[in-house]
Amino acid sequence: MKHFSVVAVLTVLATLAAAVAAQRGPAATAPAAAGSATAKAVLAANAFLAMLDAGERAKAAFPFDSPQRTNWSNLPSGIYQRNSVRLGDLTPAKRDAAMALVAAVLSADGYRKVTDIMNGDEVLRGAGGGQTGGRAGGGGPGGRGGGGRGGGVAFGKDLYYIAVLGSPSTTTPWMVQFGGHHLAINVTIVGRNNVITPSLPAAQPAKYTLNGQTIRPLGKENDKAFALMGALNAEQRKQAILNYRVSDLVLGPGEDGKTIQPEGIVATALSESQQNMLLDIAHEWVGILNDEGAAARMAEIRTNLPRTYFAWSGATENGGIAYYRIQGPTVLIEYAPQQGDLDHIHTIYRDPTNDYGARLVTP
Amino acid sequence: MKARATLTALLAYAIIPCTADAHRLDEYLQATRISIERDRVVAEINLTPGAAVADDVFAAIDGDRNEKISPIEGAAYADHVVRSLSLDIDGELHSLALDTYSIPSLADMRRGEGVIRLRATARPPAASSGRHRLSFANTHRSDISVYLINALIPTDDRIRITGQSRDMLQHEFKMDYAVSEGEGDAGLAAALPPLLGLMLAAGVYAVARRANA
Repeated sequence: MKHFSVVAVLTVLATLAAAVAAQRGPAATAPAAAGSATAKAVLAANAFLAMLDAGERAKAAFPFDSPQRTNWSNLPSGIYQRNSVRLGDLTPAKRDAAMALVAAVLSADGYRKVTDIMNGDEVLRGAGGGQTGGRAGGGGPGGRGGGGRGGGVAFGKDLYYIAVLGSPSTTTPWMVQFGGHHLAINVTIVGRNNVITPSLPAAQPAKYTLNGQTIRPLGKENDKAFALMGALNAEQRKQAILNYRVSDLVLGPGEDGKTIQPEGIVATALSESQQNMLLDIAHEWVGILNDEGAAARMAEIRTNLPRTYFAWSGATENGGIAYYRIQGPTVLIEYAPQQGDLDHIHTIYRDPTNDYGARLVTP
Repeated sequence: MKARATLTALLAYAIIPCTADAHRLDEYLQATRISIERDRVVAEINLTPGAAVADDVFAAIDGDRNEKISPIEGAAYADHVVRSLSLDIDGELHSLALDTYSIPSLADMRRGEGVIRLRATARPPAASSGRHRLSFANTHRSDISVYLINALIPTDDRIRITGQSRDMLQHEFKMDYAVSEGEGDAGLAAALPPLLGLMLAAGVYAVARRANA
């Protein structure tokens, strides 16, 4: 009889535990294999952290659940305070190690996009700072940063910041955060899984020359989208085009946890080749992440294509000002020229189900 | 109501840093998110004055011109913004009441960083099953403003948004939605497994007691 009671209690406990676990989502994943993107990231992170002195490490390393996780912005230094370690404060060797960590969590194309954005900010610094329309900001008190005009606003490659949240690990959750003006990269890593949402690649100038080459950090994002618009027939355009002006990102910085009602044309109303074009556009953001992570995220987007929408507002010929959005269950991408300026673009990439690795992290 | 709004504002001042969005210049961006429930409509508005219009906006708030916003001045401005909003459901007007707000410093506004945040709620009678139309308009500072209005996906799965439209400048927003019968409430679905577990526990305990008797 006692035996039966014990079995009964254990059965009940197991049922309750299963019910709770089912609501919590997946448990921690299996460890990442040697040579995997996660393993490389762990090596790079540990190498970087080991080079830092105590003061630098205190600025670079945070607990995984620190409020630093959501401390990111597109704003330049002098307007926005980033609390991590600044590249300009590091020796060249430490700076190289920091950038090696960034490269370890991103794809080759992603790393190139990041450096193109940073180099663009250096161009901005050399040109005296970025202002779009209107007059320059008021003088005000000296800002939190140094240099630059307009009361402490500053630009340039030195003013990008890096942080590691949690302990670099092939099993437990941790995060690499890198950003500055017009860039916020947030990579959460849990075992062999990783996500890069939310992240914000932006650009001003949107086109510049470096070492004789023309650089457009977000050129493909622009051109591929206009190509898709050009591929739509009249009926498809009617569904895709919003009949109102969209002046800015809807779910930019500070808008974590929100999901807006989708609009535009649903992907099932596109032909297969048009769907592939849509996926190719999304990959410009998803593919910033290392190849392994990006493949997993793209697979989710592809699976959810029947519930994915493409919305457009503005000019339909390349060279004009246009906003667009790709929105599905696991993706929210927005592309928004700022204040009617083709030379100043903000974008955002979110996953409503998995920002900051929400699905991957066991509570 | 004013005392409550003032107290709420005092609590709101302690808050969280206002992470700003674009570093705007000569525009006053007003971004609204509308949440619809059967018996409640919530409008959350972020107002971001560009650096070039910050003094103008701040002057409208800073009644005594001391370059600081007192709780009374803040409450008055937030109230003024809410009175610039209109909401009707199926042609019937409903008042939006200010819930919370926060107003940044003049220095933050001048840098183009400061975001004024406010939240207002209307409480119409519970929507009947069937189709409905919500109309919302924002006319606050239309001389210098650009607007964004979006609907959040309803958390109540009895409510389904079936259409949205806006005027070109997003002053006005119309949203069609359908309300269906049923228990709804995603929370009930989430509670079901543990409830079943408890029922199973009770049943097993009863059987065990009988077996032990």
